[in-house]
Amino acid sequence: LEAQVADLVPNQSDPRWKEVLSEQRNPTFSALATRLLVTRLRQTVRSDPTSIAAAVQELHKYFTANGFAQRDLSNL
Amino acid sequence: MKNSLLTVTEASRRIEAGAVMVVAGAEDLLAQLPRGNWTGGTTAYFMTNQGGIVTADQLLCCEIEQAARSRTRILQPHSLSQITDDRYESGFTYLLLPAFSDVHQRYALEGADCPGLFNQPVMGWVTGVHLDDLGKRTPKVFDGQTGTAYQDAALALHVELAPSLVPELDIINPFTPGDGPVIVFPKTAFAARDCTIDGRATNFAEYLTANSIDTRLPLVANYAGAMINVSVQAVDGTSGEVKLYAPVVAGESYHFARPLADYARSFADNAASRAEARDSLTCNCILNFLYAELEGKTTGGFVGPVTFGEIAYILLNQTLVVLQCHPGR
Repeated sequence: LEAQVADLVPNQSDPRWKEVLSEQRNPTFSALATRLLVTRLRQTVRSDPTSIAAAVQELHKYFTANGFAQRDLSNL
Repeated sequence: MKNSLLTVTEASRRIEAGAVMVVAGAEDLLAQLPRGNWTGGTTAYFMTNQGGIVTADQLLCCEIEQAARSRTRILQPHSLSQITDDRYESGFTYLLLPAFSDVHQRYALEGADCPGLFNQPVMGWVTGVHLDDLGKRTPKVFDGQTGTAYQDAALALHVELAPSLVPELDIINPFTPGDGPVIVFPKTAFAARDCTIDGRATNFAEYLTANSIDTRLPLVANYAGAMINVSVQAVDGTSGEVKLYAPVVAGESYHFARPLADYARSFADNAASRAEARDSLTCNCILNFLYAELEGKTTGGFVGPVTFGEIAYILLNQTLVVLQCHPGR
């Protein structure tokens, strides 16, 4: 399942990651874990904009690892 | 999940039969339980099927029947980041933190940064005492494997579930952001002096006093669709400092919650809209218990401890936390 989910996760260079983390894009997320992680990463990026690459990597890793977040991924 | 209000004798029988349990109650009762697969936390307040109660004579036992295996880990303040290290491949973690302790403060400030925290549910609560005992007794957590009580360490109960079961953690929050100004704090902290109100630099305590803000209502921030509360503990007009039950986060936009026409009813209605109350692990906040006057009132069938703070991955205030296990797809 993890491999199948990983295939669906956009590459880290996809602009949607940065748009979500810089709050230009506000998709509807349903999983509490996704909502809290996205917000934590947004807070980090807001206080240190240079951290955005690390934040994208962390969010990408989260969606790759967690099948339960697949619905949120499709709303990205 | 099976949530039952039991005597020490009844709870002991379940522990001796091998049940995996989280037990909530008075310190004196928890200290009498035999060793086994349980973790415990102190509180005097409970939500039961008969409504909210205050008791030092019974224990609320939350039995996790779906547990295939479990193990407990004691986490000191400096080792909190290890909370995810020993969890199972499939399952969840139940975390207990003693109120007013360093580990409580540190989890609130640093918990969200624990590696992989959001990959598996972490639910739990902050242990407390009867409000009459504040300053006389300290909140505790109990490791059922050894019978040891701690007032300065966290206890994590890692639960393994069959891979066919999917744990789902959610929150029920009756509060939504109100129409008042946007409040932003410059520092992440459990206390606030400075803030901006709609962009204007202001002392937070002065703002609360001058505007007669009802501090039973929490500050609410929208976390990508999840409403996250921070509750006001005390306003010191002399020092200009406002103490909070959870940290406000620097740069986050807060509003005071929209007033509820009938606090008790709004809360119960919100909880009652969930059909899944019975087969779940839950906890609710002492502030909801007090402000909504929940003693003797039911909250939509949710049964669990009433606590000094709730954990759904991060520390929460005035929120009902619910964990359920569903068959996987």
